[in-house]
Amino acid sequence: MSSRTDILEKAVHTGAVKVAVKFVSKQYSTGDGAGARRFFAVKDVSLNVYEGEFLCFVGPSGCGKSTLLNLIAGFEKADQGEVIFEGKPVTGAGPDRLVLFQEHGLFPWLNVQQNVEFGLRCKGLPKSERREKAMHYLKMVHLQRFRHSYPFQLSGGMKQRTAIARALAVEPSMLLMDEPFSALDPRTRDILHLELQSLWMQTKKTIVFVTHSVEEAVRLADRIVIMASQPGRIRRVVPVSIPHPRNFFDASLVDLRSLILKELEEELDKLVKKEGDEDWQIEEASISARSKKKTLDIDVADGI
Amino acid sequence: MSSFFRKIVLALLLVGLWMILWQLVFIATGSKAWKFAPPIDVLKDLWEGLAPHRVVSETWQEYVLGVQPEAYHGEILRGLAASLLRVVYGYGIALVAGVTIGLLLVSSRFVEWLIGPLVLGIQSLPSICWLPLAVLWFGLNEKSILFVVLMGSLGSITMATRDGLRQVPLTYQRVASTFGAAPMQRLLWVNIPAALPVFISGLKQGWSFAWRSLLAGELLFRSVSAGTLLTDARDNFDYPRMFAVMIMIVLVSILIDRILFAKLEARIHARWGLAK
Repeated sequence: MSSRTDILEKAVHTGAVKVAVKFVSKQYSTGDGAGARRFFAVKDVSLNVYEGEFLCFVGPSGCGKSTLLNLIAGFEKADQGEVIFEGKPVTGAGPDRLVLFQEHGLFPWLNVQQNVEFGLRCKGLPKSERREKAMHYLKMVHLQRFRHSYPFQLSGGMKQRTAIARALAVEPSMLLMDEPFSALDPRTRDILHLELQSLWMQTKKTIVFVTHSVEEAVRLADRIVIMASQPGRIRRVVPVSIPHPRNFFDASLVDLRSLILKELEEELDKLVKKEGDEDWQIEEASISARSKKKTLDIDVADGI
Repeated sequence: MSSFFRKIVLALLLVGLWMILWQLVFIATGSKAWKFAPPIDVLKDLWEGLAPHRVVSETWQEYVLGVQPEAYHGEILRGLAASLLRVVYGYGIALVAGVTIGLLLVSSRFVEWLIGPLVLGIQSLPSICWLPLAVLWFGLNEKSILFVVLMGSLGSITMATRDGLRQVPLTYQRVASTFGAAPMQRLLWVNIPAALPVFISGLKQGWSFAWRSLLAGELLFRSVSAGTLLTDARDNFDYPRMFAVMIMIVLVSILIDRILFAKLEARIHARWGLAK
């Protein structure tokens, strides 16, 4: 283990800061009425994303990794703190921080080529230029033969590759990927991992990738941000200096994987215990609320 | 093609079976043709009612509106055609008005607050309840029928427009945002196509309400219409005609609802990946 950590410590950042997340907090509430409670999806998170790096957020569900991505994307606004992108505060979504979704988000009424051209149409590019670019990126993801097919005719992997081509076509300086491969079968995911690595090496785009799979994070990332939940925060940042493209069975990957899994296991144990406690507390609270006929303010998430 | 042929044969077989059952009911009730029409009389009436009439008209509009009252043959066909023309007008107005109101409801929270519940109320009110008001406002004429058809289908079309646009999946909205779509681009290229499946279902429902409302309205006064064919048959104790007209009303309804709208709906659902 110690030899592994040596490798990890050596990683250095060479690029400029692409995204600066500064003391960001975001709260949500669950339920309504007397049972409503607010919790921190992320609390006081600070993080830099560097130019050209491949960063992975990994953690159990509810650790705020998707929230963090949505904040960077500009889909949501932070309650406290701010997100700086290329020196300017993020105020909304835009094609400079292009997002890829787990549900691919292809428009079913457009065929593959029209889907890829969507972002270019929004930019107002003329038809010939749109076609040229679409074909270029469709070739890159090996789908030019399927350009006239509709999404319902494609497999899951092909849909996600179309979504990748659509994203790359607008030539964003950064890609945000929200568990894009988690709905795919292992074999397809493996192929897409390889393709994504080679795309990343060709284009040198900054990529922020959210996943709950440690294997995926270890295979793809330059740096892995391990997140903890309740409140959502960063537990540890692990740099990975193994060269791309990485093979699944690389011994150093296996070591790294077990290191991260151990970290996460502690986190999961904590989560399970806490959830048990919470259920008990809520039950108690609802019983006493019923007997006293008075609403109680429960603040479980923040208290610990 | 052979499966299509099989379907036709099976359908004919079913109709034949129904005819036999019908005849049995006729015999069981005492073979009283003046109370319950036997199938053969109804078929004969259908044959006459649907045959092109003998008087030669100038144009098809004249044919539809029935300027030659002396024509006897083809009455059912003429009545149905006039009814269909009427429902197309009424439904067309409802379509324009419904989509407009639906768009207003989606675009403004104030409008939604102001007239949202009213639209729901209109949709819940059976369209026949508009008849008394329609007669007071417009009198016993075409306008009052059109009004009833309009009110019958307006609610469904409005709600379908509103709900379709409101239920655009979050992912599509976020895709539009991340690609930096302008408001108009978002409406035309994302929201409207995404709303189509819900919208088409609403159109289908609106159509069936329109057709029902129309026939209720047509019972009001004499005109060239399917409704008047029914009331005339009642006045003349013409049971075969009554049955024949009812059968044709069902057939027209099925033809448009099950074939035109259902086909359109199925195609959109398949393309949108919603098919089972």
